[in-house]
Amino acid sequence: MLEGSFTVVDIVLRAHDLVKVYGGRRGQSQVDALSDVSIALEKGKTLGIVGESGCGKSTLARLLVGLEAPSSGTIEINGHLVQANEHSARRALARKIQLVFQDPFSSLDPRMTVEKALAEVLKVHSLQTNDAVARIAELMAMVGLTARFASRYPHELSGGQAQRVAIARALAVEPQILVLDEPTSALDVSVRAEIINLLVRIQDELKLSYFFISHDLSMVRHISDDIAVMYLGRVVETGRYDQVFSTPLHPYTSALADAIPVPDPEHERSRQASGSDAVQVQVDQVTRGCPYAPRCALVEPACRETAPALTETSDGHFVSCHVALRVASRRPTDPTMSDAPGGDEP
Amino acid sequence: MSESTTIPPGSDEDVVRHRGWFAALWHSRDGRRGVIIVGVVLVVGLMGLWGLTPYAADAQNPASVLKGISFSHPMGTDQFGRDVFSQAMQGLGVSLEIAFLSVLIAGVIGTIGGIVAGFLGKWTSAMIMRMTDMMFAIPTILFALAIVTALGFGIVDSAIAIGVPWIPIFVRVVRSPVLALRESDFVRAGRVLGFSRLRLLWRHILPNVAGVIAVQTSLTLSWAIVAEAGLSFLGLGPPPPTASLGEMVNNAGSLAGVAWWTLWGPSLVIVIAVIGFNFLGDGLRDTSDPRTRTR
Repeated sequence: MLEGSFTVVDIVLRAHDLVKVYGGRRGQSQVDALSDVSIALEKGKTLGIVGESGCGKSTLARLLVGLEAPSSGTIEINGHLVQANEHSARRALARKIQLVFQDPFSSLDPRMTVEKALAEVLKVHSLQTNDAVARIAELMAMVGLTARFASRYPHELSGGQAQRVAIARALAVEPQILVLDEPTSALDVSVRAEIINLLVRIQDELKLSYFFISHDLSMVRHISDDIAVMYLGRVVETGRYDQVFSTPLHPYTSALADAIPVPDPEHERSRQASGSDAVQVQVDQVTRGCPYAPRCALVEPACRETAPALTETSDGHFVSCHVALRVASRRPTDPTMSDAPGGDEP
Repeated sequence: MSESTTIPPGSDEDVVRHRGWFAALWHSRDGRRGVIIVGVVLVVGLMGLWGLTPYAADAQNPASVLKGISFSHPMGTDQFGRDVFSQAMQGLGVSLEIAFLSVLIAGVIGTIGGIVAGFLGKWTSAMIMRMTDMMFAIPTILFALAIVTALGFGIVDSAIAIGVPWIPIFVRVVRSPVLALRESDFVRAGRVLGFSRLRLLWRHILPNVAGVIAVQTSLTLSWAIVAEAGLSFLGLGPPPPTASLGEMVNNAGSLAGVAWWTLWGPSLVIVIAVIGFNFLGDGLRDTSDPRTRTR
């Protein structure tokens, strides 16, 4: 995961201290969309990025694919620093990392048929120029579309089919990394599982690495190896998926884990009784201290004074929470912390 | 089950057919009306321009002065015995020539300005938009008067006088969809895919504003015909002996009491041409989106 990790892993993308600030010029109010976000993606693995609306997930996605430049901080792909300010550099970056958008219809040009959209990508990158038709058929087959969809416009596709086309278009440049920005949120529930299964299959076949961005933890669970929980532009907890969600350290992670719907009425009743509060905190309201303090059930005086740093508690498991860190340091090796923050309400 | 297999191959829904833009236009109610009327107007206007009129437009005939509507003179004759229909044909031809030329000026400059203002940075955009604001501040007729006075009364001068005030309208009409498209997901996707700005502009943004441009062109043509008639009504059109619709209306003003056809003939031609281009514009608006073109 992060630099402190003991296991030697093959890191395909590493973002270091990414900061993105919007506004702040000529009296505009300044918004810190991302504050010191550091993440690392292992080759062939999936890093799930979860958090509520406005936590900076999509900003992170835009920075990763080079749509926007970070205010400070660096992104490395295969150890090479990414600088996407020139067109040639942009083209080179495009071959490494691609983005799949939330809304498949708006991400496809309404005036281009499936075939033309795929052919354009091949043409721009001079790929398979002598046999583009076969490559297009191959790409479509890869995402489970038959050839008869080639002549269709986006509006003649279902949401799931359109998302398959968007995935095929991203795969056309043979990237190593896909950033999946809530790829299933705009789809019918019945289609979501198909798309997730498709993504898992493609990952195996092509040895891709994924960023899977979502607010839907039940989706993240199916696909993620690692997970980073974001809150107001910061990573508050990160680690292996099972690590993070079996023993959530940060109270926000606990609240998220509690919010996963479980098809059991008894569970539902107890969940509502514990009731994590739903106060929305704006990014610009937090000036100092822990950004989660205004919502936190376990808040202490220290939380309002100093922001906790992201600190490793066990192998690869990082958290930024004063309370969690104190509890973890008391019992560093016990994986079943009964008094994990957020578990019981005072 | 994969949704791609929900429609069995070989069924009617197997292959989706698309109409070309003209076929789609023909199949829309307004579009077909517009195509027919504009087609007739263009043919009649061109015949008038090339002198293919029933009588020479300026041929005077003292034997048939102020004759009413008849088979030989479908719009009657004027006080010099000239055939009103032949004059109107020539006037329509000149009107169309000026209208197309002025819309070409306004459309090309305005579209380029709108795309640049929408796609490029804040500074360029602000400059172009302030310039259009300045042009909006000048009354159209006053501007046309100034240009015609400065340049002269020829066809190109009239076209400039009528076309230039329409540039800012094209700029605005084109700029706003370009602004929206620039921030759309599919243009972002294109940037992520490494497409050049020129490609995004030419292959993705322009085709998606083409419908807007076509509609605006058609509607501006109808306005340009009215504007040209207005200028020549004020005596600022092409000088005699070239017939022009506005001048004919002006001359007929004093005759309307005794020979109503001298006023109605050219007025009717103006109205038909304007209605035709309006129908065409509405038809283009309805069919310019491929979403409406699936059979």
